[in-house]
Amino acid sequence: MKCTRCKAKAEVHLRAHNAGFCRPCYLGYFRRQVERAIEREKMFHPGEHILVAVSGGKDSLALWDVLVGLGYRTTGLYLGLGIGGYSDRSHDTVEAFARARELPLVERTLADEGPGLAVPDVAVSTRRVPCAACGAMKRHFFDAAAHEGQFDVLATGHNLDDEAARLLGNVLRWQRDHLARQRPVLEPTHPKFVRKVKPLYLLSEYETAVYAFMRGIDYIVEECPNAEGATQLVYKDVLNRLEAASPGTKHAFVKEFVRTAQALFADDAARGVPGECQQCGMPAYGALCSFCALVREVEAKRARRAAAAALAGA
Amino acid sequence: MRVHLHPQRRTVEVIGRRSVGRLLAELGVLPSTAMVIRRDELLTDGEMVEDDDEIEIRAVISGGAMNDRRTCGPPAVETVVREDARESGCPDAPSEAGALRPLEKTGGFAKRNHPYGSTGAQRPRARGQSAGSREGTRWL
Repeated sequence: MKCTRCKAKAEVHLRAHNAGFCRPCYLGYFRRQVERAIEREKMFHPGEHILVAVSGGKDSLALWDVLVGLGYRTTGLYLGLGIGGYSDRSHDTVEAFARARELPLVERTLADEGPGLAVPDVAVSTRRVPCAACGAMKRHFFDAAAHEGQFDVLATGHNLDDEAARLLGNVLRWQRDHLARQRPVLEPTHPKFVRKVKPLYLLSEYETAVYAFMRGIDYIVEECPNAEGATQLVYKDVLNRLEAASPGTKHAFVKEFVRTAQALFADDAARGVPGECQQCGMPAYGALCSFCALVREVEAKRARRAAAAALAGA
Repeated sequence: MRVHLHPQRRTVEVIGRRSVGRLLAELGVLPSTAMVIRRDELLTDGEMVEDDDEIEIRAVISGGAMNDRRTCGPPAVETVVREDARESGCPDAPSEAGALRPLEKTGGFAKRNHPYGSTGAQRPRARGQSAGSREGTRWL
């Protein structure tokens, strides 16, 4: 197969675009796609300071790499989730990436924020699915770090496959309020929130993995052990079968939703203006934000368990 | 050739020259869900791989292959001759039921001649592959 642009030997075949690329042309293609998404969706401009949430996976590190390459002012944010060896390896990977490129990195660790706040502990004590507990805590710390650091934008590495799987899940249950918020750019609804953007939302996992490989980015190949059995993986599997039968399906599904259908759900997004959490001061729709409510639940369960252990000992 | 699958941490011995597309299909890997790497080079579906090649198939899907996740511990050691067993009608031959494979197109030539047709036993031989061919896939 030959490169669609320069006719050299192709190293990558993008079935969705019916195109092949050699290494230099592919890297140029990938950067252009990110640039176009940033411009088309008005995600941010060169003067703004971007906080990039990085996990050590291919998507977030590829995003950070391409944003730096495009000349944006960025800082990485790593959140240690406390998921055993997986978190240790992802931390080392992110730290090595930032050190090698002399990039600023903000690090937070859930276990340091309070007893029993590592994701596995929260999941056990609150009997939640680990991904649900993880999502609530990530959102809180990302928002808090962006506000404390006075960043203009929070960028995440959500890719086409993530967005297509999420869209499929939302459509299957007709979750209108979720569909209303599924956009590549989320404008802040409170002064303590910053704009949230997903510059990779039209680039597939395959494309980000190829970019990371070609750029020599050392990323965590293994996925979070808690992801096993997650519903999102079932949706991704179904979408990949559709994609194999009809290349371009995922791209059209997400792109056309954002372009034509998303606005139809705009009214369903109206949750009012959030107030402030009585505990931490971050935006909240109730007395407590979802993170502080979770912390309170964990503390109550821990206290109950300690009391039961003391009784058993006596 | 030796084919290393990541993140499943499995190694497969595959005998016989073939295209990357065919290798992926035999291993139940959907196109564009894995990178095929030979040394420091990515391979497209039409590229040929040889007996003395060392190949890495690196899944790009978060969570890896859904039915085949194994991300820690020593590499898997399995000895199953996949193709040979299936062709002989062996009841213990590994089924494709759990493998990732594309949806069949409905009706017409594509469905009747799909290599993993509804019976599963009528898989056509590849061009140039005789009944006694040594080609096969051995899971190590």
